Amino acid sequence: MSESNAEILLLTHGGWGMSLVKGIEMLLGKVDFVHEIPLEPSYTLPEYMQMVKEHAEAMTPDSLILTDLIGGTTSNVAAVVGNQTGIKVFCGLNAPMLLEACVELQNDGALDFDAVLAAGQGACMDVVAAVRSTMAQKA
Amino acid sequence: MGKIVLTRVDSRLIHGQVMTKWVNQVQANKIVIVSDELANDEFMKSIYLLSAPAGITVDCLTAADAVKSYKDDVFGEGRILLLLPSLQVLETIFNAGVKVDSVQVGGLGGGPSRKVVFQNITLDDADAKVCEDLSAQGVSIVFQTIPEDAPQDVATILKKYRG
Repeated sequence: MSESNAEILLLTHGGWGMSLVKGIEMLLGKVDFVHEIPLEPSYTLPEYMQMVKEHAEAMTPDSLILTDLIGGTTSNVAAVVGNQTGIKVFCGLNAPMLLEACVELQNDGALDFDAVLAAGQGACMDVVAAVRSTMAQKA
Repeated sequence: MGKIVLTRVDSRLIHGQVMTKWVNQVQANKIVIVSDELANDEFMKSIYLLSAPAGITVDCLTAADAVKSYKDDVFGEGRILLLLPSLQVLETIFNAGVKVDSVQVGGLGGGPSRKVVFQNITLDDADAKVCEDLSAQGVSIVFQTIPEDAPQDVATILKKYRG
């Protein structure tokens, strides 16, 4: 069970992060330490900044903010908030990255930030090519 | 001498739509942001520099510096996407000599005294007046968020605002 109150905050364009959470919950059960502030098209930059700031001020320093797109408003806002609060911000949210973070919080109650980042970075692969290459090595 | 390939008014400045769509669409290789606030905020400025794609340079200038740089040599060299946070900044630099001939309004955020005119673009009375004044001086103003949307001309938008 979780020992700390570490939280994962997702910032995504249009709120696709919560769909990802539904998928993760098929594997892990409830992950109610994950929250999302969707970037809706109608939000202004100051509005969104304020929403994220207010939420982040209530987060513990060992929490993590995951954003979808570098160069997008989600990451720009998170960079400012992370710089102010000391909460880490990773961009490039994907399923293996969130899965790793959720497993760690469920099992250890704390995040291994390097492992979460590595899970995200290592997630992309040309699958058929990789399988063929493995088969060729065996042959 | 630089060449301005797009002048865009967008309160979010550099963000997803600009980076993924417009930079490629207009083949820009330099983004010039005009914002007194941003030019004096080293951290925020660094965020924009960090997130620029390879081959794209980003400059943040105060309105005064932007006017000077435009008059010197149109922001140096390259194909320039001139990015402005508001119609007020557009009016300021236009009146000070940055005579752009066409402007795209791509995003202007909400607020209590503002009215939605197209998708997520809102105007207030001051904005509408800037559109009118600049149009009267021959500037072509269109409203368009992404290239896939048909650009809306200023007359249609102002009619909607007053309707």
